[in-house]
Amino acid sequence: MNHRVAATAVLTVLMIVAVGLLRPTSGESGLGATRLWLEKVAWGPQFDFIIAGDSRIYRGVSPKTLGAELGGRVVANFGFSGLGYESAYLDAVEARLAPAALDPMILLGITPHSLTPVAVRRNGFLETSQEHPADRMLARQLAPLLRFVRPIQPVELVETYDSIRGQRKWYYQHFHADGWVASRKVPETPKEGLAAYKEEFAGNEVSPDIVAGLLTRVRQWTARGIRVFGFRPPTSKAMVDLEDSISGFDEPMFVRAFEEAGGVWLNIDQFAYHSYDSSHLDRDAAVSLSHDIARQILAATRGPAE
Amino acid sequence: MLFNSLVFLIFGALFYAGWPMLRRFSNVRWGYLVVASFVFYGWWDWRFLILIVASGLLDFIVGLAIERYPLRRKLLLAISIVGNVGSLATFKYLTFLTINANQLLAAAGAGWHIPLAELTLPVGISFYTFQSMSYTIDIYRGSLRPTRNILHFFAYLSMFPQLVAGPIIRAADLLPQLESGEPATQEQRWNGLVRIVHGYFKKVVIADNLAPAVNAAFAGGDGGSALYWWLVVTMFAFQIYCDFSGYSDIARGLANWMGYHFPENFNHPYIARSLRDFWTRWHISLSTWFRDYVYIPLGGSKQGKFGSLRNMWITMVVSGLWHGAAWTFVIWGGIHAFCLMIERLTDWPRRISAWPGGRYLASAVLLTQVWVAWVFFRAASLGQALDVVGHMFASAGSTLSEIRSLGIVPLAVVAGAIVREGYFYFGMDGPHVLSESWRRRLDPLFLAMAITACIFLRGPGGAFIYFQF
Repeated sequence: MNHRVAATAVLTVLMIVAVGLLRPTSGESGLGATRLWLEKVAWGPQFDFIIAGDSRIYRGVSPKTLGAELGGRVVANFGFSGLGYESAYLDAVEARLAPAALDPMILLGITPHSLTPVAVRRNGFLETSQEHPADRMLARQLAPLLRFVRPIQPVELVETYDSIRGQRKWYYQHFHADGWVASRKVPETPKEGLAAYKEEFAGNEVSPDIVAGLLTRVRQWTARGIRVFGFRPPTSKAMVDLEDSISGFDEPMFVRAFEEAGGVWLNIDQFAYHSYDSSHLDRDAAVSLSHDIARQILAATRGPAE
Repeated sequence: MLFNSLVFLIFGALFYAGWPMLRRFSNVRWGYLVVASFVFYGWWDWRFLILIVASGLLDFIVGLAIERYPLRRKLLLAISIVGNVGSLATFKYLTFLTINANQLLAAAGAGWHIPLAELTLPVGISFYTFQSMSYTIDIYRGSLRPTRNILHFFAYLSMFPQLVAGPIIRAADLLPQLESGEPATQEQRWNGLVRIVHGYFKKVVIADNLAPAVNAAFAGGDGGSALYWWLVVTMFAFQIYCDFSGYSDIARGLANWMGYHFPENFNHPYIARSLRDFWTRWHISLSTWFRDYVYIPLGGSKQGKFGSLRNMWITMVVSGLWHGAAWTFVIWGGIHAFCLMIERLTDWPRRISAWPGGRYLASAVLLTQVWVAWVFFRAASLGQALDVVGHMFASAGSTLSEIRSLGIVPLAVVAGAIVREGYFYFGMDGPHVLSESWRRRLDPLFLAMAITACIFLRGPGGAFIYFQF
């Protein structure tokens, strides 16, 4: 073999190992981002209860907490980034319910953004599920290696510099196998999400067609004996005000239609939980929200007779 | 299958593990190459393999028939061209043609329209169609003898390194090489490795780190100062150059590892001294294809000044249309044609370069032309392109926050890319400080650093831009 090629190979391996070990540590733990999305797409029909929605859902609701409160139900958080309620996703939600589940349930997190055309066209679920199956399989199998060689974000270098100066910024994200991403940011960025959402809703309001499609599905599910719950994931007051003013989402009208379709709407206090970036809940607030959701579901499922 | 995907790394490792054992016998070698290439292409969508096979079979049979029936060669060539251009027109231009026909019908007050048939554009169709067509044209011209072995032919047509985004290799160059089962030399392997690593570096470190800033700027569309848009277009100029030349470098390197040679496809186009020079450095395999199969058959430069300019305009506009079925691409070709025409009529680059400091002025004028043309190439619509060009030449008052909104990484990457091309522009690539023996010793270290950079400094991945052509 060419000596220079061999020398290059040896030096490359040494450098990769060195950089991989010495690189700035990130606040990521658990499965890791890429792996979690791949696992979610690969989940089979194995759950009694599916939580669906966008990042406010996958960061905001802990299946473990919910499952414990609901008497040991097998719960999964099937949330994806930027999720929009399109038919492929709704099919996938339904397909994750175990056929043998005695009392199957679906919890839908309804954010205004999840009902917009942009979210339906481009979201984390479509992005991951449309990859070639062999690519997904390989990425799942090689996940630890891929995590080791993940790109170094410039922000990580800045953070390393800050940490030397004792001002380290952390974005803690623990990627749980049940789909929840427990999150915390230090320091918090209370206005971070507002500008992005303002931009996101420009020319991209809630679509009546998407709402109608979702409600049709709720009707079909409830007709088949699946209990469907819905709620608006709590966030910051500034975000709710922004969404109510520019997204075109009429919550009272949506709730009426949702209930007419057979769904049960959970009235969750929008401002009782702490958001670290104006959009998402931190991990303690997520646990607290999960308890509250479970209690409301229990109350709704016991019925007046109990 | 993308070169910058995990699957390709495994595919490549398997292919090159089998190559030394299977290259010795011609039919086994060609068969192996064809099967591997079909897997490579079919990974994206196996149904479009039918198109490559059909296009290839047509030209394989026509090639043999031209030799067998020389008196009917014109008819046979016409069959090949109609077949190839027809398939390209159907899959690439049908929607564009239908939309424009409907606009004309609406303008004429017709109360009906042609229904749209939205077909998926098969990856690389423009590349393999041109490659296939050049085979028959060369046989027609008598400059090539057809191969009688179908595996030999398909090994040439579908060879995976260059199948979907070039370089467009001529049959006269590759068919004889494919007859050889000689193993790659040590020098070829080293050069191949260097090319592959350079190619990946250009693609994943430079182009992929520039892409988010360019995409965000063009998605936003309105507003922005002149400085902001000049920076955005500069980023795009380097993004497309590194994306495309990166692909070509990887393709050339992969061919080297098989023991074959693909010609250079890019030669530092942005340091060109004139637009004519630019076109001898940018996408060389396509430029020479258009020269040999469009410009020269039209009469080339042998039809007087007017005829020569007409032929050049036709060639450039067709080249624009080859890149994409949209008016923005036609205008991109038109801008190049217009600037080439002015250059031919005035010979301004030579004249200006004779002034003190004129070389730099000439370069600035040249890059301005190329940059403005890139706006049309990148823009989503004609309106957006005109808007961006308007901002480039009219809007003042840039702010630091506006420039910073492009992102520190893209700004640093484009600065690095400019410095790198400047190195060649100022002729600093001449004799090295280090002796040849030291360079040979240090080369593995530099290459290992480049590979490590490709792994840890890669940008948000994406498909190669030229796949869509």
